[in-house]
Amino acid sequence: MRNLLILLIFISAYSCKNHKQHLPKKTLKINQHDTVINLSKTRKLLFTGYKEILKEDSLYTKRLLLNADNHTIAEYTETFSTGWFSLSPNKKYIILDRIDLGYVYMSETDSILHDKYSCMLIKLNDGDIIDYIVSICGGDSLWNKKNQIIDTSYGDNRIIFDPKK
Amino acid sequence: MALDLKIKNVNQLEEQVYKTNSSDFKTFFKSKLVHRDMMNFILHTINLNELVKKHTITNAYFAIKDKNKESYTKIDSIKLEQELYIIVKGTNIKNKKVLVNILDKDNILNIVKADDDRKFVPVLVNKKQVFGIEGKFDKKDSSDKTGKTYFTAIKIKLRAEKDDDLKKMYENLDKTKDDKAYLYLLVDIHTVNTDIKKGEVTYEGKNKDDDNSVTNYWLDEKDKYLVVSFCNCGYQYINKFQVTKYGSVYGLVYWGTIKFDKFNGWKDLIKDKKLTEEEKEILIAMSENEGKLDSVQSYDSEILTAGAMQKTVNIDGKGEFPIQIEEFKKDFPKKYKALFEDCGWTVENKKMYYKNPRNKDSKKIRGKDLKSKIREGFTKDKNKKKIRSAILEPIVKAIIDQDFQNKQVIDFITRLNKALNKKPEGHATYKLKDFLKSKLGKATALDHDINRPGHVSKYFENALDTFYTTKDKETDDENKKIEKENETITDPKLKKKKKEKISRNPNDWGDNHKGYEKEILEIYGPLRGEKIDKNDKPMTDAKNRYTKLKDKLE
Repeated sequence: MRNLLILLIFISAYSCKNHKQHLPKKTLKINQHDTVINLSKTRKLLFTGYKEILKEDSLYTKRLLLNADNHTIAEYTETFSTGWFSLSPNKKYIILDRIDLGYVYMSETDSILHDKYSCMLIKLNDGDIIDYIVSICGGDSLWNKKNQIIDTSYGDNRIIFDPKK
Repeated sequence: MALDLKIKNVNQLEEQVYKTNSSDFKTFFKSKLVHRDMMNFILHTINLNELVKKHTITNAYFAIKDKNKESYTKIDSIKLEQELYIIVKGTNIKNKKVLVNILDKDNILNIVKADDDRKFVPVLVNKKQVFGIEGKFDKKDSSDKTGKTYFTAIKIKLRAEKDDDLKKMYENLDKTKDDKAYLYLLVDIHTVNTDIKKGEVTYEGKNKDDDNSVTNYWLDEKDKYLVVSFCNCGYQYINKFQVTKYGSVYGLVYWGTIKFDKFNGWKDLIKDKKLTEEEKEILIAMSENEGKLDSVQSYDSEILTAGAMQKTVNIDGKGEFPIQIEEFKKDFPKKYKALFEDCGWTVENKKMYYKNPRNKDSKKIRGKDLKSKIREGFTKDKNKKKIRSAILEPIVKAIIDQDFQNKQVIDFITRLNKALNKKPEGHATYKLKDFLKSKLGKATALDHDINRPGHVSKYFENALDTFYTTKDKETDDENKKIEKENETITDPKLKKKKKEKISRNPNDWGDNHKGYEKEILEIYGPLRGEKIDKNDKPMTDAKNRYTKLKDKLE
């Protein structure tokens, strides 16, 4: 009886795994302004929902991390994006920008512009956000061969991300 | 009329019995069915209370519920806004009702007027404000082995329903010498139960052995009061947070009141050589573009943003603000405890958590749960109204602390120096501070670094390239003119010397430095708002911000 139960659990787990593996490939619906980036053999990045946030200031409102069959691994919708990204040499990590932009209303007539720019470091395996760091938004930072992020702006090439730590 | 329980002889008994309305008793005694000696015997052998005093209230006090148990532990102190229980015990009162009033020895917390103009200590029962607190004796007291004792446990929250009234309670407590109020209880079961007459109840409260005193007060004695104190977690900011709309999202903001020019720690910081007069001027000029020292908001993608540098707690609980608090904790551990920890906020391993200090059963939260909790109640229907944010009030209170304000200012200077130590790409031998010597130059770089820290090196390099190209062209044009002029001059001694191109070492610029820096800034200031590469998201309003800085610093 016990053996039978174990066998049933095994069959059930195997069929679930198999089912997941054999999900049919999704057709990727691409709209105007959408951008698809092939990051590696198993990962793609789709920038979508491009729209005007402020006058003459259009940004992507959604980013999707997809697998090779176009199934969504993770989506990032809380902030806007220019479509900028920076991929690690081993293609295991990516930096995406994240922009908070819009008017905050103090009264019926009075508003102020809110504009905050930062970046997030993402693990491509599962789409989890490892960290939010302002100083990794390009320009002053870059990947080295060890897949570390180096801040070059101070001249001492300080490491601000090390995948081994 | 109640029977006097201290009857010592038959005459007194007769007198007392006739005062009662009990016709049975009167008939009984009038009929002389019982001989006086017999009555004397009765007096000494039976307890009259058992005949007439049917119900007894034995105790009343404040308590908290024991975790995962149906028992309660008596307490003698509590903080305002905390939940607690009123326990009333008695015998022969199963399923009877009870009415309890909370009274205040020094009239500190009894701030709400009832219809009859009496003031009372407001409490919430089931989220509604009540004065007369009703309960029911529906719980058997397991500690009484006779099984006669029942009790009621009424859950209350010690606060007024309206936030303005609650603020008044805090203010009154804050005004007292010891920051405390002293509460006691008045218990009554004879007016809320139609089948119980006053004479039928024995209250064993204060003065229970005194024939001439009211006996249904409990805790109204020295060392027995419930002592109410409070955590000063920013009650001053009750109803100061505005519901605001950001895009399609509703959140909250306290705009703050303290700009850098109103900061009162400049003198001490300069005296202690933590900063210079020039840095002070730069920061004051910057304040026009930045948040106030005591501003706090939660409306964008982050959990919250606080202070002049608008440091954030990101959705993972990490960010620049937890780091700033952790540093503050190292320097001022006692203040950290009082300002943050005692008010529910903690930083552990650079992550920020919140746990409601008013509710011992609440859980520590962070991330998305915390973000939702902070924004709870700040909804479309209340847009632009100023309401209470019990979670963010402590943050305003904390960042307005003089030592925390000092830290904000010093952190700003550290940021300024970091920005000026950056090296323009392609000109990596020299730092920004080699080019930017003026207050305007330093402020412009700091302004850029705060808003687009990843852009500073690239954009400054671009501005420098433009500047050098322009200067080189000017030199080339002049040299062409010189060449032409020299063509007409036959004497080699009279021929003019060609000009050298501008040195790429800013330390060589000498007297021209001021003018060159101004030219660079005229390019760099507005450039900060332009796209250099396709995917750049440059600073918003850069030109206008630069103009404002010029107005203040030139």
